[in-house]
Amino acid sequence: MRQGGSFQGKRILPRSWFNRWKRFAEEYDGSREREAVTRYEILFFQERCTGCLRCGLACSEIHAGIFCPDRAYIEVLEGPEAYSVRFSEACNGCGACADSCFYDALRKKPVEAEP
Amino acid sequence: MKTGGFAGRILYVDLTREEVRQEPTDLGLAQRFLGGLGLCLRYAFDRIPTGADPLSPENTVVIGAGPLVGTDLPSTSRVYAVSRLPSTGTVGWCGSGGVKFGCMLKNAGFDHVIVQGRAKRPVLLAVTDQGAEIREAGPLWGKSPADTCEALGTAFGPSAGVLCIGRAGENRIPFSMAGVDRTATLGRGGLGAVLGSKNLKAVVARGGRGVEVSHRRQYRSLRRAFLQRIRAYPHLREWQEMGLMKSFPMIPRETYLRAKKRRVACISCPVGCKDVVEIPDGDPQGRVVHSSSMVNLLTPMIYGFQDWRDAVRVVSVLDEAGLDMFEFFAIMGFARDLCDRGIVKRGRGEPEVRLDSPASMEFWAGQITRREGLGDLLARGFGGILETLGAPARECAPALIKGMHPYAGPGSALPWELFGTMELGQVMDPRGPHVGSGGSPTYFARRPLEVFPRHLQRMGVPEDAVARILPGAGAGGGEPALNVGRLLKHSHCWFAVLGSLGVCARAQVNRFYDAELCAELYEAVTGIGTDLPGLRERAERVWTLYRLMNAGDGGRPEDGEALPERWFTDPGFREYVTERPLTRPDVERMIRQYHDEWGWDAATGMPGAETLERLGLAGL
Repeated sequence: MRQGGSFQGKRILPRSWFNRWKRFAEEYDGSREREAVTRYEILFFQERCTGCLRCGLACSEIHAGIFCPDRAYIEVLEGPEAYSVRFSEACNGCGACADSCFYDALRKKPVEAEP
Repeated sequence: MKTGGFAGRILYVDLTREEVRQEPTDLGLAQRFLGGLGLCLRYAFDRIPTGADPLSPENTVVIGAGPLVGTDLPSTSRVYAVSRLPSTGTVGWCGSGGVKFGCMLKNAGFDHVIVQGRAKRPVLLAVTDQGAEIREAGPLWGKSPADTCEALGTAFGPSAGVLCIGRAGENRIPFSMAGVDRTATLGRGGLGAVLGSKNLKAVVARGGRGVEVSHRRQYRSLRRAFLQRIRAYPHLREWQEMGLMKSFPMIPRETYLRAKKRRVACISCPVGCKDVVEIPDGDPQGRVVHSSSMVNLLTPMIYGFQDWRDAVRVVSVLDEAGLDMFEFFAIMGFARDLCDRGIVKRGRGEPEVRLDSPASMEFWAGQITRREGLGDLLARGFGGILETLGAPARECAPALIKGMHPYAGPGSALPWELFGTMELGQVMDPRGPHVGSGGSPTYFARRPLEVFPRHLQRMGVPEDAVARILPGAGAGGGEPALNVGRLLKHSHCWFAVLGSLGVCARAQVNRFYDAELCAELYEAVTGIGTDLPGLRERAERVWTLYRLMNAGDGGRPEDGEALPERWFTDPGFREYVTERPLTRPDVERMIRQYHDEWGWDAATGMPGAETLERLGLAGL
């Protein structure tokens, strides 16, 4: 499991950067769990999705520092029957999209990282 | 200072010359008029000539989205347009939600689009990261707003936001509207016709520039507390499941749940009041309808439709044409009376006008949209019909305010009986009868006065004004316990705040906001120092400017004759608290108190030199 600013014992982020990221995660609503577990499987319940795009706004804020659905790693698509979502390869399972959803259409399930 | 929230550019479009140019958003003006609705009005003030024909190339449409639009704050979807409207002849605001348009306009790099002139052929305006471009729209002409959104979604990508018109707008029908993102309508009073007169079928926006906030830490801290409050709201799940049907249960819950295909929310909205409905059985089985709300789809039941499926079908026909439902049914009622009195005659093959008959209403919707037969006369709206037919028609006309039918009140579609701020607002808003800007605790009938102070504080009403609005039982002098006229001033200010920031004005949503929070969020997003008194002053400036814009067009917007007689005939409106029948002098007194609360001149009902000086509007 990834902890602190290190991966497999190697520091990958300067401490100050990591602290800044950690503070950011704490300030973001519902994301405190990310301190311990950093990756999630994102589950989609299409019958609950209203297409409000809040997931894309949250994702782009975390990963691009701006609000922009087109820069998010999650895309919400409107089909004839229901909405669907598509994750880009860049998605790292941070769970911000699920934290942001008002409708519980996205939920996150912790994924144990490889040792 | 970094100014977040604003995209930073204004797009000027001259359709006559087919030219576009861009200029930086005037941040000085933005600071004084907040943004969104406020800036739309400010830009319109300089560009809409007094007395101009609303359907002439000289009329201007200013479209814009406020600084909170495009952030992830709840219900910050609002798009506003300001133009001179053909139904009323006044300059009015038009507002809508929408999933993508406002957000994508900002992501394409523009806060506002200012459209002037008239294109020689049908065109659309494409606003993207690469700039703006006027394009041929011939193949889209004649399409419904829903089909136009779909076609442009295919052409520009699924995240593109679309504002467009249907055939009613193309045919310049003064009660046509625009549609936004297939979920919302924009522009009661005839914005559709204004865009149609310019041959502008659609504005499509898409971009990846992003919306930034200035003070991130402050923003996140405010948002965290705010979201906790929303998630803890005990009725949130019920709202999400039922939408506006929770407030207006017009059909049984089970029937609605069976028809509901899915709920649709405007961008970042926790409630989601829009609906996609599929008619589960009967005629027309399997039809799928997108609507701004199931309640809207069921409105014809008020006029006597027996089967809810017929109501859905007919309203979807109106939406496909881009017609204003309330005005359509009011015109139909008028047409029925004109036919009954022999003032007009139906043409060969034209059926009887029956408001309770789905087949009749569907026929007439088509006839009006195409401007065929008697439909050509009816398509001119109340103003055009009365001008054509003269005095005999005037005798059987329904209640009208500035040439439009007030849709709330006795004899109207929404048979509200108690006279609160939304009802008075139908007279006092310069745009004509619309309840949207008059929100207050009186939205709900028979609310105990004890809860008013809490709501007034939320709306940012100063303490001294609360004492004037709720003078108490011992006020004497015939003063009512609730002063609706004075309260309406603060409703208009609250609406100006929400509209200028970009927050939805629906009571179900803005209940989560309060004025203090709005000031803090505005400051966090834009970086413009803002406290509650400062926010109030800017909102006052916005609404006062709106008032001034309509001053040159025939005096006070609420002159005595504008009060419909029908409001005072049995059964008419009743006073909000005591529920005694309302009289014309009661309302006239409320109007005087509304002026007084604003500090406007009692005789002219207009802001005086001192007020204009205080608000920095003297030079205008």
